[in-house]
Amino acid sequence: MNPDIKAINEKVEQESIFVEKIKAEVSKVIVGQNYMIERLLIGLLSNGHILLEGVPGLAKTLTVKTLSESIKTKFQRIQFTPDLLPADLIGTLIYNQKEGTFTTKKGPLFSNLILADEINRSPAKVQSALLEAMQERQVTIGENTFPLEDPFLVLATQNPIEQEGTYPLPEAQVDRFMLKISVGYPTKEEELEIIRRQTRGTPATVNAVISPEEIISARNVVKDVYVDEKIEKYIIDIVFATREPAEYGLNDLKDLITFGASPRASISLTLAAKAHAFLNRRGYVTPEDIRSIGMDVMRHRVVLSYEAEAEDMSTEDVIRKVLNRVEVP
Amino acid sequence: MKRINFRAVHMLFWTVFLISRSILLAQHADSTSHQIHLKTFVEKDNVALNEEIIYQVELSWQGELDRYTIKDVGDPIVSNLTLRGSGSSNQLITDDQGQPKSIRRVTYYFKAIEMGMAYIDGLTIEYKDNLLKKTETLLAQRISVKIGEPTASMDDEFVPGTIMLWLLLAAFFIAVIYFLVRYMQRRQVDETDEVPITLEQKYLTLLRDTIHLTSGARKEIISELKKLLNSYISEKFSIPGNVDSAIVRDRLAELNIPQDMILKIETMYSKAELASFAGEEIEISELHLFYDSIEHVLETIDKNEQEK
Repeated sequence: MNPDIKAINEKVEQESIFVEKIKAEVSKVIVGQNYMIERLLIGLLSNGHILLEGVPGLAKTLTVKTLSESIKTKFQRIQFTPDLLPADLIGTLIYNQKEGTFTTKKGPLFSNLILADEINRSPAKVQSALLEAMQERQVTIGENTFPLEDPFLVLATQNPIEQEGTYPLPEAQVDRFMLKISVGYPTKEEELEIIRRQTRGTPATVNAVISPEEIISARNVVKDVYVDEKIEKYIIDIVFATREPAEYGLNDLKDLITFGASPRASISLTLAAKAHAFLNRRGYVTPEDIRSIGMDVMRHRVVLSYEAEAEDMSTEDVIRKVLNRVEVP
Repeated sequence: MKRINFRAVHMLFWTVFLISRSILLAQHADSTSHQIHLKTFVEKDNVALNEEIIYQVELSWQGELDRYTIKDVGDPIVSNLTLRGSGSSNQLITDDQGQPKSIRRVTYYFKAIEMGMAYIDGLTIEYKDNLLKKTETLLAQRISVKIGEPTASMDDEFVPGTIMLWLLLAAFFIAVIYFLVRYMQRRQVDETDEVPITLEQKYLTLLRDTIHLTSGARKEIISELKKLLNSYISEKFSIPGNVDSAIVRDRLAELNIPQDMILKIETMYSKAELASFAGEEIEISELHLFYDSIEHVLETIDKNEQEK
């Protein structure tokens, strides 16, 4: 192996030990949902925010809460409601009558892990305040700008049903989430285990097994994970295939896609693939990493046309076709 | 009385002279007073409306061709005719006395405009006597042609030769079709006689023909080996799109490939990955091992399928 990549591999081996520990702690509370847990770790390692979508009762909130408990970090859960205000998120200035001055009251965003529960229940101004903080990683209250703590990770949930009285996130803002995870139902065996755990005995206690510093250190190793030129070209091909499907022999998708994935998708795909390789204890990215993470990176970035709706094609169907058709190096 | 007689004799003399001159001129309109002779004629003076009128102008003289220089004859003035084309030729022959004789012919082709009479006005031909160094002219007579009812053309007529030609062509095409059909039938028979090769045999041939372990970069060769196996699995199980190592592993297990062989294939995939995406070097012995593993896998599947 190339000496540099060998060194990265060794570093990855050392730094990724915590992954199994976290998984073990989370699994004390959460049954199954390995896919979701792995994606949350990818977000954590590649410094990318995550949008979780799934019907109620799939342990989205519980998983995020348990993950935060396994890390020695501050955790905030914000329930998004229609009457929520931006100040409720970022904080505000409060007038001190005694001293005659304004003092800053920081909002719940000043934390490490933020769970924005049902993000689509709040109006656009609140969503914008959150998404701006996600992008800039700083918050301005009054005349002062405060940097947010590192790690700063937003895990937002939204419910695909009950669209009444919701404010769907605009495409431009959804693009700021690195991954959009579709949370599925547990298997029969998993559900049986859930029943047993929830109805018998006392709930398990989750121990914090990793510090924020260790997460930041692991992130630096993830950044060093080697991406070969062939892999970079493969990423570009996948993203371009969503923009110009005909060039990749996907003529059937030509009229189904209104907007293809943005350059932010290429960046996110590379970063997420690096994190995926890290989780699999590798110091280099393979096409399997790209294929594995591709759906979660692009599902919220490809906008379908009315023709696609008429043909009952989902974004997942389109991306699956792209991933199957673009030649693997 | 004497005086009258003298005048009468005088007038008679002139009359006789003029008449005899005009008779002479009429008889030799195509001038025989020269050593050069002009002859003009139409091949037929009674033609059908749809027939061609061929008008010939022939100049002949004793001696070599360069004895006279004929100036450009030009086109004759015609009525009820249209000029279709013209041509000229020179000919040198030997006459009965064994003397050389030169002939220059100019031919005009006309088409009649309508029925009735058509006329070709007389031509004035200027020539130069190269021996005497003097220029003279010749006059040709006006010629009339009677234009009659159009006649049926050869195309409309029943021509036995044409029928024969058509029959020959038809026979030729029938023969071609017959041999083509026979050829196709024989080919079909040959194809059915051929023993169909199995998918495994097809990929074994591909492996042996296209992958040469000693030529080319090793990382490319291992990548080719991987692609060949992927392609086989994809075709065998009709899997659309890309096939990865996990799919290959599962499908090989379905095909009852021994576990140790599947492990070798898995090693090949991870080695190919390392070589392609992490700069790992590959030994030639490893390439041989992977080549042999794929060959063995394909042979085993082929054998198993034939035993079923």
